[in-house]
Amino acid sequence: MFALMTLILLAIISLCFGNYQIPMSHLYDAILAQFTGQPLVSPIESNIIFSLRLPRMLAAVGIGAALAISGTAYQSIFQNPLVSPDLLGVSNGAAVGAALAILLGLHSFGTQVLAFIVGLAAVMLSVLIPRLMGRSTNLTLVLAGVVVSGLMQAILGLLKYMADPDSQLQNIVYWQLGSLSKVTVNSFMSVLPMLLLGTLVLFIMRWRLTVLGLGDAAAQSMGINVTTERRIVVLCATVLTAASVCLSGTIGWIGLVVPHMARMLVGPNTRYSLPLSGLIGAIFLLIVDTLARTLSAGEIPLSILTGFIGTPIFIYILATRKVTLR
Amino acid sequence: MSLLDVSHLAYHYPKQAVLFQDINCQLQAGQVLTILGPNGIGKSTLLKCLMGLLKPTSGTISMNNVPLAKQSVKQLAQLVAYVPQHVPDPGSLTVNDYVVTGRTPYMSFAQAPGAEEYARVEDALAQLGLTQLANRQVNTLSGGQFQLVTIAKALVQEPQLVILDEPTAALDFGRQRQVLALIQDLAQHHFAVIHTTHNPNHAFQLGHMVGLFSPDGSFETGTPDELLTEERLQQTYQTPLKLIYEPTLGRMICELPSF
Repeated sequence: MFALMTLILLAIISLCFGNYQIPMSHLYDAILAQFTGQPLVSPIESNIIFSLRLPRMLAAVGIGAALAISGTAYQSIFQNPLVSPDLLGVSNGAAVGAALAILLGLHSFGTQVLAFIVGLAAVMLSVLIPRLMGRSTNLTLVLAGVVVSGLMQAILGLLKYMADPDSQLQNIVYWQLGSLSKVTVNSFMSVLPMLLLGTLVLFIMRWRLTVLGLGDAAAQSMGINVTTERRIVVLCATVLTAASVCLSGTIGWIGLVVPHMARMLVGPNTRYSLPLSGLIGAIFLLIVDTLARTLSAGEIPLSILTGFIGTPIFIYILATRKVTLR
Repeated sequence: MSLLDVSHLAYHYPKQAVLFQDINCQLQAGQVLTILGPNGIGKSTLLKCLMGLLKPTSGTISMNNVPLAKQSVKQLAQLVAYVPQHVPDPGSLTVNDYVVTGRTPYMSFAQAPGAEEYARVEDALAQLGLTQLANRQVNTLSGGQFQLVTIAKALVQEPQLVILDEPTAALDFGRQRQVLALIQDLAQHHFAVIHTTHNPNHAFQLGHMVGLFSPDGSFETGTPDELLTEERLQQTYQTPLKLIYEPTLGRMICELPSF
């Protein structure tokens, strides 16, 4: 409840901050003006709040929550605290899709669609490899993810090598560092159903994730159809990550660090740690994105900030021996 | 009608020789089957087949006349609870949360455990004298305490058959007796129990049915007096052990000779 209140408060404050500071009273007037139709604030301020900052704030909340929730789900089903949502190649796959779109000269919506599709395709390939080998264990799936991620990195390297260094290459690098600067109401609305659906299913399964985290044999002996339910979790976590990454580019650390923060606060039971992880992820990205557009005249890419903030937090968690497997 | 009916069961791991074959046995509610046999003969594998974790190569296992293969994973979990020999990493859940996972077979997909489920956990922990451990993290428990906690988890699963793989292996003498008394208690409460052990005395102590694996992989069931003769046990364990009648206990005891 405290985390939820903090999130709402920060969300309101974030609308005021940026290169163009807006006083809190103007924010209130602007919201009032939307309902009454009276011109209480200047059109510039109204435009900044509703067309630029509101979709960005919503995207930060949605993506932060999505990455943290999928990280929690992955760490639970793979029984590994070092796993992040990119495990099965979704981020590298999405980067390949985005780079391809940039090379083909597609606009931002085209980039978004291609990043989403190739991200999903990379995970499907990771899931397919162990099935073709006839050994669908957690370990073979993780190894397949490593292999597919490596392949995607090689393809990305090739695409970067082919890109025009003055324009396309810069765009690819910038995309890979993550940013919410290009988020619009429309682009956010196009991924919102996927973010909501993935979050909802994992939220419903939050207790079963605890049971799945006890290992395959234990979960099966307690009546869980491990193969099917693991597939549902992988699918939802992948859709959440792909939908996030296609909108913002790659944002590191959230999916890895935030689940640990949540477990440190409420313990390893995903019934409580999964929703809290989502809230902390939302707060974390909201703060990082507000800093990214406030600290300097330009935009600081998000992965740079999440890395600088995430590393000391993770070291703190390690130092206090609060890293728990599950 | 038997609760458990095993007929011509055989199993071999992929690309390996036959581990066991032609295993037949029946078990009723309230009966205990103590399985003995040398290391590596297939005791744990047989248990995994019985609880549906491994698919037998041939033969059938039926519970209440319904083949296991026709039961869903959830139905099976309502019938059989399994206490494994070793849990590699139990995680850092509290004892309460760990034990309540045993209620999963009775919960719907979207359901999380509530007051009713935790009340059953409280009962099971009280029955085993573990109430004071309820809020401890399971990875901070001793081997023996954790073993009892996994038994508590099996109890809240409310199965008809409880399968325990070497439940006394990690326990001191006192706790071994506690687990054996618990097995006896489960039988009196009409559970069927199957457990494996390396100590023939456990079979004499319980005095129920014995399933004996011979070194050649054959499997026989019978009473302790029928099956556990000195000669058979010497063959099974390839060692010159002694069976002695102990009048104060009123039963046979098995002893290893001095060196």
